[in-house]
Amino acid sequence: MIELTAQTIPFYILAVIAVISALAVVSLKNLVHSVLFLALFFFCMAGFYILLKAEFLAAVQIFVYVGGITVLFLFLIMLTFKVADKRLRQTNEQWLIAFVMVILFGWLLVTGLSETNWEIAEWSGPEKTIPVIGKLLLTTYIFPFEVVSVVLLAALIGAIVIARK
Amino acid sequence: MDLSHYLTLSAIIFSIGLYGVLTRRNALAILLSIELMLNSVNINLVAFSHFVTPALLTGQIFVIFTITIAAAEAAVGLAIINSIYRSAKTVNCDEINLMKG
Amino acid sequence: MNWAFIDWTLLAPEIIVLITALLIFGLDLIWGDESERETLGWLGILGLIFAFYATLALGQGGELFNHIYVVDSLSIFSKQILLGIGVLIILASLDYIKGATKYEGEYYGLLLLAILAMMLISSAAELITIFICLEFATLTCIILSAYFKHEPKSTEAGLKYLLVGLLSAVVLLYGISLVYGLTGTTTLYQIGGSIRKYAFQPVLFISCIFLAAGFGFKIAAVPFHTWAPDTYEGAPTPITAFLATASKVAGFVILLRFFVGGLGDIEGHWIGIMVTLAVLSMSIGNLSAIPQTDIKRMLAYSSIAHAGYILIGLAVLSRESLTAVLFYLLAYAAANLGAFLVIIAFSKWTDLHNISDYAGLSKRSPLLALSMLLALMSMAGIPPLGGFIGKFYIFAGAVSEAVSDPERLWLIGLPVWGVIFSIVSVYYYFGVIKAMYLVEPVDTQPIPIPVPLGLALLIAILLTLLIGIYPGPFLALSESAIQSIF
Repeated sequence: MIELTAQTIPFYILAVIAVISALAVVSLKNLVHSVLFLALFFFCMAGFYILLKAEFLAAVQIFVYVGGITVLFLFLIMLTFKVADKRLRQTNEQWLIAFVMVILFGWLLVTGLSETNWEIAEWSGPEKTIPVIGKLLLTTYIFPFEVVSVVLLAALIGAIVIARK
Repeated sequence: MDLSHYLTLSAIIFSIGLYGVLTRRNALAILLSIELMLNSVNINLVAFSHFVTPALLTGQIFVIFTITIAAAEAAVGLAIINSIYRSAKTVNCDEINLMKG
Repeated sequence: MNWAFIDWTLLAPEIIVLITALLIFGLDLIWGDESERETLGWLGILGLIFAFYATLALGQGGELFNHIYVVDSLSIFSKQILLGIGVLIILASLDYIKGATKYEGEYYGLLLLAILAMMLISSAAELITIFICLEFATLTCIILSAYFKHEPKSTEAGLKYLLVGLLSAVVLLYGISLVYGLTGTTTLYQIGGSIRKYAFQPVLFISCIFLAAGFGFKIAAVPFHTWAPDTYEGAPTPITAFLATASKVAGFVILLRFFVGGLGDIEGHWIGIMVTLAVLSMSIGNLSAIPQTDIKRMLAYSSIAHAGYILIGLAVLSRESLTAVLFYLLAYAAANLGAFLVIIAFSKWTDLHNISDYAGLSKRSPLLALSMLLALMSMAGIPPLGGFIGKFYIFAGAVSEAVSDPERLWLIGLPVWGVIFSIVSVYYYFGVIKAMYLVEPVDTQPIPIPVPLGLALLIAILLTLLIGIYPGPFLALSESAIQSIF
């Protein structure tokens, strides 16, 4: 069932680390630890992107997620999380119901996904992806690209207005 | 390595994230769980890009956009959590409840 | 792509709104004086009116960037409604926002960006663009809901909207990723052409559920409605009015474009989902509205119920019923704006939000009471107002489809269910009317109506009356709009 070859071993190692760190993110009591495991999880994601020949995305993933978002989260946790909170219950009462529901949901999802015939194509991607991505962003996808710049402007102004005293 | 492995992994992580959203009390912890779910979708997109449309890179472009949107939303989200902490001195969702019905 | 062949005039309304927003942000920095801030609001109104004028010149429209962005009669119709709503909301905000926040200029700018985002939603026809535009709209609405950051209720509204909005974004994105993986393309145009051959893939059903859940959050349909009452109650009232009208219009337009336009060939996969959402929204929305004491919260549940009525039109899926969807959106937006504008005037003056506080409003301000009466009667579906005609067309569309096709006779249950709950809804709308007209006021002080708000109120109420008395042209408009997708 599970074949161990030079290509599959990195996938399984990364997958195991990713799932364990994801579980840690949702279950640890100390949120600082949760965020650190989230950073580890983001690194695993970058690893998958490299396995999928998306090197540029791997770099973006590390810059934006590990470098930006994780640090932002850490700052805010330091600001709002009291040491005493470590002893507080971090989950609500419905965890058992949620657990059963999520197991059921995941099982249905995996079954549905594996029953489907995806139209797999032979790998024929470009050798270097960065120039192609750059070109696509400024030609075919120019419209969403421009819209995103306005979204970032709105987020910037909004975040400042709300966060300022 | 084929597509179904990546899709299964993504579905598992999506479910773990969903569990976190449903059970966590702290608003920040809920945001962390949503980031997990978002990343699981990104694996889906990159895997589809690799296996279904290898020459077009559509999925990779999609992921660049979702990462940007995620960053924008994280910034606004953290600003709101900061502001709510300032007024309520807590970020636990079940304690922040001025309105009911 | 050849840039010379891009017809930039098709983007004129969006560009005008964007430039106005940027101008407002810029002028706000330069002008230090508080009293000049109101001018920024008027500038915003001017920009929106210009953009409205530009939509009239779009003619037949067209598509841009290889079907990434389509300007058709549906999107023009929706943009005109959105711009109209925008003008009324800014008119109502001019007085409301003054002194309530330090950041007045940014408020108008962000409001314009929110309108821009919803205009983009109504034209987006490609998965990446749809996702980005939806998140753009959600993000600006979250910021605006949390805008009064010194009021705990407002930040709480923002927080709830944020968490649920992000969750819905992820769920929607998962559904979108499956559609992309299945078809290998992201434009709705190509998806619509090839989706039929994937009809037997189980994953398509899963992705329809994810998509319906994601869009269900945006239109606040049960069971994805939990954010709406809290956000509507806590947000600044003009923003509540904006959420209840504009974001519903944009949400339904993208729902139509995605499901009817894109996934129309596999309607068997999603009609059942729409029926479920419609039935749940009508029942739970109306029943939860009954015990509410806060008027904004009551209207939030009522707007959930209205989403249910509109979803009937989507579930029936005939030319007639889809036309009725657009017509209903128009009538609903006019009546809802009327009601919220009265609430804005009342709460700015008294700072009270309970239904019982509206006691004796007919003596304190006959004009406000009359407007509220007409708006609520329209929402309850009492003739001859706009809401009645809208409900009539929705239910008639369902009945005629059920009668003409024996296999779909079960559709008759939907209008029956709708009529029952419309009667239930009369009860809670009447609670407000009773308080306004039959209860003696505690405080007899008259309530002044600021001139801009009065103007907006007049437009909304006249439109509600006009749609009811003379529905012909509005129906013709809706009919030509729906022709571009069905």
